[in-house]
Amino acid sequence: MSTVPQSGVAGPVSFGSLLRVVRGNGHLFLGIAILAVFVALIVAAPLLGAGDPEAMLTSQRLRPPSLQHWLGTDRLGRDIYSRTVYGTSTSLAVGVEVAFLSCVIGTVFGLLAGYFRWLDMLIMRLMDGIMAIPGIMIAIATISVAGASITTVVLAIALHDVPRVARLVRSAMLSMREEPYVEAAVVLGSPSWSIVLRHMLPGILAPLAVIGTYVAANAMLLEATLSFLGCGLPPDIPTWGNIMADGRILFRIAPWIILFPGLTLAVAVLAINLFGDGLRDHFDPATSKAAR
Amino acid sequence: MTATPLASEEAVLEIRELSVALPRGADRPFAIEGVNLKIYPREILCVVGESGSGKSVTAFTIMGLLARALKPAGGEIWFEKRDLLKATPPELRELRGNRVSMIFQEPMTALSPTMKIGRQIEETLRIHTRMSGAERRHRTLELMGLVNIPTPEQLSQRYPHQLSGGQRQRVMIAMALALEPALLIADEPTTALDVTTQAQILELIRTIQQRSNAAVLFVTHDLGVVADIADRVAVMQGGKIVETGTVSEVLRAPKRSYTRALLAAIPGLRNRTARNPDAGAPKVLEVEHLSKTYVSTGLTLRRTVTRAVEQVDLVIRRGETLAIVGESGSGKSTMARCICGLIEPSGGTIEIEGRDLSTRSGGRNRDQNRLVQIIFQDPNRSLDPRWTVGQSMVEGMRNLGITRGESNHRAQMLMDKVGLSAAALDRYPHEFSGGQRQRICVARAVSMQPRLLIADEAVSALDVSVQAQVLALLAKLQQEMQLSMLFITHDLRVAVQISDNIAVMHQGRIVEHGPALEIFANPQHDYSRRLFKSAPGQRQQL
Repeated sequence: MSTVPQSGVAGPVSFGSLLRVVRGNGHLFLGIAILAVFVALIVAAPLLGAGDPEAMLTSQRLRPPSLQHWLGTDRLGRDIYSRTVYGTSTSLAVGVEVAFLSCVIGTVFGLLAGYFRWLDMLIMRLMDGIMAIPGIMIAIATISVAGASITTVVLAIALHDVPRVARLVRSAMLSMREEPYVEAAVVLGSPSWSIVLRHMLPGILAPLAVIGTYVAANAMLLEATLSFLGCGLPPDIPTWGNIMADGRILFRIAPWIILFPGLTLAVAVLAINLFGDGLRDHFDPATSKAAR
Repeated sequence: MTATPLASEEAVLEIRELSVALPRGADRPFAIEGVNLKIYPREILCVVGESGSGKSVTAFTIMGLLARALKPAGGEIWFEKRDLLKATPPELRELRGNRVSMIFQEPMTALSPTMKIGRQIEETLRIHTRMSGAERRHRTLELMGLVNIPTPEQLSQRYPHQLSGGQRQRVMIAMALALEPALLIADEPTTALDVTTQAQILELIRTIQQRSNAAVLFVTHDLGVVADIADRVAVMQGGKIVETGTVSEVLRAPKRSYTRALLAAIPGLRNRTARNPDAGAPKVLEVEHLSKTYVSTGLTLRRTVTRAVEQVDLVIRRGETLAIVGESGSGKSTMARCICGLIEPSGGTIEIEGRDLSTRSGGRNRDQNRLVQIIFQDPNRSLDPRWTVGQSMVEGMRNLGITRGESNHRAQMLMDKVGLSAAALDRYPHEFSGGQRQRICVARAVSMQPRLLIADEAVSALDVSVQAQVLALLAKLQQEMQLSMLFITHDLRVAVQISDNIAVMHQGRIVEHGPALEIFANPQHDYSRRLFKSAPGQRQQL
C-alpha cells in the first residue's frame, strides 16, 4: 500500500536490460528505428545513391522524380535526394546541438534558482523576460546582428529554449529539496555542491532527457522556418528549410522540391517526439497509455 | 456495548470462501484467499491486520470497487438475498450508497473540492430518493446535526477545504448514513486523524450505529481502536482470516500465535520498566526560548504571522529519552528541524554539551553537524533511491573526513548491529522492506556518533510488529552508546513506552513537561488531560 516502487531508478543499467526496455515500448522502438535510418543516411550517404548536393546539371533542371533523380531536381538542376540527404546532417546537428546547449545552460540556471533561494527571484525573472519574446523574433534578431552561420543559428535557437529547461529543473529541485533523503544529507553534513550534484541532479536527468527531445524537435522546426523565411543558414548550405525555400515560388510547377524535404522534416520531428514520449512513459509509467 | 447478536438472527452480509487473485508476478497468488465472514445487524465487526494482510481488499470487494488488476477468483458475497459477485453493474450501483455505504481514510480526497458540502450531501438524496428540494435540505441539516457538526446551516455552505479533518470525516459519515444503509463499511476512517478527533469519530460511529441498527464493517490496523469500538473481531494475516471471535475473546484470550504476537507488539499504556534517569547526568541538549515564526505577505500586503514554535525551553540529559507528544500542527516537527539545523529558528539558543550551536541555516560546521542526527518518518523516502545502501551509509562518515576503507568497515559493523547482513550494503533501498529501511536510517544516523538522536515520528509509518522491533533497536543502541534521544510522536502509547520524560506540545508551546509515568497518570494541563483520555485502547484494557 505504502510502497510505490520508483521506476527508472533501480540501479545500474545493462545493455541487455536496455534492449528489453526498448522492445517493450512501442513509441521508443519506433522513434529509435526511424532515427537510426536517418543516421544511416548521413553516415552512408554516398553508398545510398546520394551524389554531390551542389552539382548543377543545367540540362536537368526541374525534372520530376525519376530513376535517375529519385526525388527530382530543382531550378539549378541539383538533385533533391542528394540535397535532402545532406540536409539531414545539418538539421539533425542543429537539433542535437540546441538540445544539448539549452539543457546544459538551463540546468545550471535551474539548479542555482532551485537551491539558492536568494538567486531564484533574479534568475527566474530573467527567464520570464526571455520567454516573453517569441522564439522566431529572438532568432531573427540574433542572426541579423551576428550574421548567419551554424553557430549563430544554434545559439539563437538555444537562447529561446533555455527558460523552458530552467523552469523544469527549478520546479523539480524545489520538490526534491523537501525529500527526506536530501534533508538527511544536509544533516549528515554534506556540502551544498555535493547535495545538488550527487543527490539532486541524478533525480532530474529523466525529465531532462524527455524535455531535451522536445527541444530538439522544436529546434529543427525553428531552423527550417528560419531558412524557409530566408533568415537562417546561408542558402549554399543544404538544409531542409533552404531546399524548401528554393522551391517556394516553383510550388505549382515543381511541387517535389518542397514536398520531399518537408515530408522528411515531418518524419524526423515525429520520430524525435515518439522517442521523447517513449522516454516519458518509461520514466513515469503512471502517465503512459499502456498503464491506463 | 451492544448485545452480542443472537445466533438465530440472519446475517446482514455473509462472505463465503471469497478469494481475490493478484496479478501474475506478485509475491503471492491471492490477495485474499478463502475468506468467510458474517456480519449481523447492530454489530460492529472489526477486520484487523497489518499492511498487506488483505483487509482493505476484502472491504473493496464487497463494494465492487476493486482495482482493475485484481479479480475475484471464487466465492460468494451474500447481501439481502443476492450474490454481489454476480450482480450487474447497475444493480451494484443501486446497492452502493443505498443499502451499503462506505467511509474512506482520507475524507479530503473522497469529497468533491468544488462543491459546497451541503450540496454534496443533498446530491446523494437527489440521486437515490424522490424527496423534494425542501425535504432534501431539511434532511441534510438533520444529518449534519446527527453527526454533531456545529451550526449545520452555516457549515453546509462551506467547501471541504474550509473544514477540519474531523469535520470532513463527519460529513462523509453523514453522506454514508443519508439513505439509512443496512451495512456501513469503514476503511481506516480515523487513521488520518489526530487522537482527540479519532476518539470523537469512534464515539460518533458507535452511537450512530446503535441508533440506526446498521451493521458496521470496520477495517483498521490499530488494535487499540478495535478494543474501543468492536463487538466482534476478525484477524487477517497474509490474505486469510486467522482468528474470529468477540472482542473480549480475541483480545483477552487469543487462540492463535499471530494474534498474540500482534497484541504483544502494541505498546501498552504502561511504561516498559520505570527507569530512573539520573537527574544529575550532564545536560546534552539545552534549548532556550526557541521560536519559529513564519511571516507571509499576501497580494494585499497584509502580513500573516504564524507562530509555529513559541518560546520553547528544553533540557535533555545524557542517556535520557524525551518524548514530545502533540497533534498535527502543534509545532513538534518544526522544533525538531530547528534543533538539527534544517531550518533557521527566529529566536532562541541551542546548546549541545554546553557548546552553542549555530542556528543560522548552513552555519554549522562539520563537527557541529555531527552532534545532532535525525531519523525521519517515511523510510521509503529517507534513502536516496539511486544510491546503494553502502553509499548512503558512508556519506556522513566521509564528510567527517574518515577514510573510505574505515567508513566501509564501520558501515559493515553497523549493519550487523541493526540486524542486517553486510551484503545489504551493495543493494538498493527499494529491495528492502519499510522496517529494514528504517533500521538502515538508524544505522546511518548512529554512524555519525551523535550526542543527540532525534526520531521524528520514526515508527509511525510502520506496522505494530515492525514498530516494536525498531523501538527495541533504538532502546538497545541508546543503552550501548549512552545516547540522548528526542522522540517525537503523535502516538501516546509509543511515547509512554519509550520515554523517561514527556513534553506535551500544543499550538507551538510546551504546555506540560515531566516524568512519563507522572504525566500520564496525572496530567495537569487541560489539553494533556484531553489528549491522554483520547488514546485508543482504554475501553478494553490491553
